[in-house]
Amino acid sequence: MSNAVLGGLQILFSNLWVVPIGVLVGLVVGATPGLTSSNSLAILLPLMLGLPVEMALIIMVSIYVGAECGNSYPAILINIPGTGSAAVATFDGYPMAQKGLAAQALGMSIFSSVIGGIIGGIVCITAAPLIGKFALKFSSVEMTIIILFGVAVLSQLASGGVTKGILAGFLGLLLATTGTDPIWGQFRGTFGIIYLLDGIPTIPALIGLLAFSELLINLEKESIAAPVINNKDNLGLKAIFEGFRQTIERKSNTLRSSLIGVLIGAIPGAGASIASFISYQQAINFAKPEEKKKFGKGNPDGVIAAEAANNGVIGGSLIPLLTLGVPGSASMAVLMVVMAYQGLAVGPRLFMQNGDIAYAVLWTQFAAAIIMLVVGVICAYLFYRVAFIRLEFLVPVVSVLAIIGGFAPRQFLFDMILVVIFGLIGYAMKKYGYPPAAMLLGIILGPLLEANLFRGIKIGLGSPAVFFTRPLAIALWLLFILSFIGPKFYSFIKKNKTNAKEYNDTKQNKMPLGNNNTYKEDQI
Amino acid sequence: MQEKREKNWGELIIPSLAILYTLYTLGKQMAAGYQFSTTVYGLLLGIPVVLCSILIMLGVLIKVKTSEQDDPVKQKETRINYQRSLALLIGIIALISLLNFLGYFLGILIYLIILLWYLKVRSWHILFSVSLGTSLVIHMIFAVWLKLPLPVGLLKGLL
Repeated sequence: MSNAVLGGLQILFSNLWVVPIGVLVGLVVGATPGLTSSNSLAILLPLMLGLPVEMALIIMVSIYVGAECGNSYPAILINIPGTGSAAVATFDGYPMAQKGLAAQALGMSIFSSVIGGIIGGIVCITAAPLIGKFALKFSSVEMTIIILFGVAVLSQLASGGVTKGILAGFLGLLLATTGTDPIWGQFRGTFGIIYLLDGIPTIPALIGLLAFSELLINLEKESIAAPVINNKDNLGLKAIFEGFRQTIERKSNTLRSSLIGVLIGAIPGAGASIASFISYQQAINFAKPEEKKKFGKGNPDGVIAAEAANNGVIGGSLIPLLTLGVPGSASMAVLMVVMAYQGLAVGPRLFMQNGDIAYAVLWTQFAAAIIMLVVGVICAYLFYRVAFIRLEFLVPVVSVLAIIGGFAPRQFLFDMILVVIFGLIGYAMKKYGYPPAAMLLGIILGPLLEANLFRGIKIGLGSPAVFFTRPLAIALWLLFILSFIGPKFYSFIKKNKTNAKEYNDTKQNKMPLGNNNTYKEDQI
Repeated sequence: MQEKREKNWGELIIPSLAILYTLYTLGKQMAAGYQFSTTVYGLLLGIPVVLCSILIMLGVLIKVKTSEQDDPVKQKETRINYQRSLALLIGIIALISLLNFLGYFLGILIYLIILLWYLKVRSWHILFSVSLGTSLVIHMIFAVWLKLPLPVGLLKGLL
């Protein structure tokens, strides 16, 4: 095994020059609205098949790492998330940019992505087989519980109250039923439009709900001749490094989010969107009461949680691919195609027959993460200037990018119309205190929820009791209930302790000097 | 400053849409006799949607928002600001409708020139450089590099 580990390192060093290229391509692809790491890897597939297998795998992992960080750039700067996982970065990243903290937010995004990548790499190298086996224990029953909690928690974030949040979340889930029923093949809620037979496409919906709606709101501002940022102080490289420092200060959130990313990434089919939403939810749960109110309004913890998790996912998703031959995400499926095409043993035999190549892939995460620190900073230094452009120029240009981004995945003009429709819905939601993020999460996770719920009921032979009787399901319910109640309980105890301390201090201050024994409790 | 008492009717938009969509999708499933599991899943999601919508609607009808009366100058400014959003909306719908005819390059170029002009950008240098620059960047990234089949319209054969 140690030979394979060292062999992997040797392979990586001989191909190290492709890592910066991959990271740069990934950053640019990730920053392009409408492009995800998986479809860019798919576009590059013919090129990858022509390269030596180890080089192809190293460059593909580097692209994946770069793309997961790069998608946060437009999310933070112009509120256009290219992917579902980047949508979480907009919640606090864009408000930070509006406050003149775009460079810090980008710095946080880069550094937390690096930490997420490194932690993913460490976990992969040390515990891949163990996590691989554990992850496969997550059946549809457990996935259903995870998804339900994701939507439930985000619903609580509505500025207009929980009812509006729940409405948005469930409406998102209901909208996600649009299209062909996955079990019986019947059409639901399509309005007779053939473009909706495959369901509501995620990318136009998220661009519309988050980005296009924001453009409409921006145009209503009194002065559009001003940029997103009008305070030029505290910007530049210094501010990016300040973002690094703040990420280090929030080490518990960074570590927790990275580990959540790795664990969720290891579950086949879960992916970066679920990971970043769940780690965001956990960041809120673990935050102090006064910090909780800042989420959604430019809390650095929100950016860190999202970015550390979606880079942790990379390490996590490599685990089932390399140890069991199960691709956990679309990007991993493309990697698997390359491996299979080049004749590598995909599955448990990979580490026995081509251990050095498997370890080279795992080592690449470290190399890509470290190189991203440099390449990411250079790109961020160039990109954050977008926030200086006056809104009267930015809004028209971004509106064009938004509709092209909506068109890119499926290439239907109808998807551009969907961007506008969801933009109007998002506009009304933002104006009247409904959380578009909850609706978006419903749309993204709806198909997963439906598929897992029905599979779970099949596992339970038609009985929903299975969701409450499987040991892992019970553990998950407990864990989630604990994550809801635990922080509240902790802050309640802490508050009581503080009150008791204040009470004692007041008592001591009021005590007459030299007359302690005569002081009575009821004198207070 | 005078106070005005009004109901926040805008809050009703999302619940109304939600109820309409729920009635449409579930009503159609029930009328067409869809499979039991399909309809039940829809109902599981639709019932909370309808209940929450009704609660919000009742809340809007009961609550009365009190706010300061805007002065006429401010009211006019707000109207102008709304018109800008409306202009973007009309512009983008026109662009999408004419995209097959004009093509992405010409369409985006004309859309940007008109919208920037409407947003009171009066320098022709800036107007043309921003519009042409954006069209070129989109052409280079999406059409040349990513080979996205954007409609070329009138410029067929040139792009």
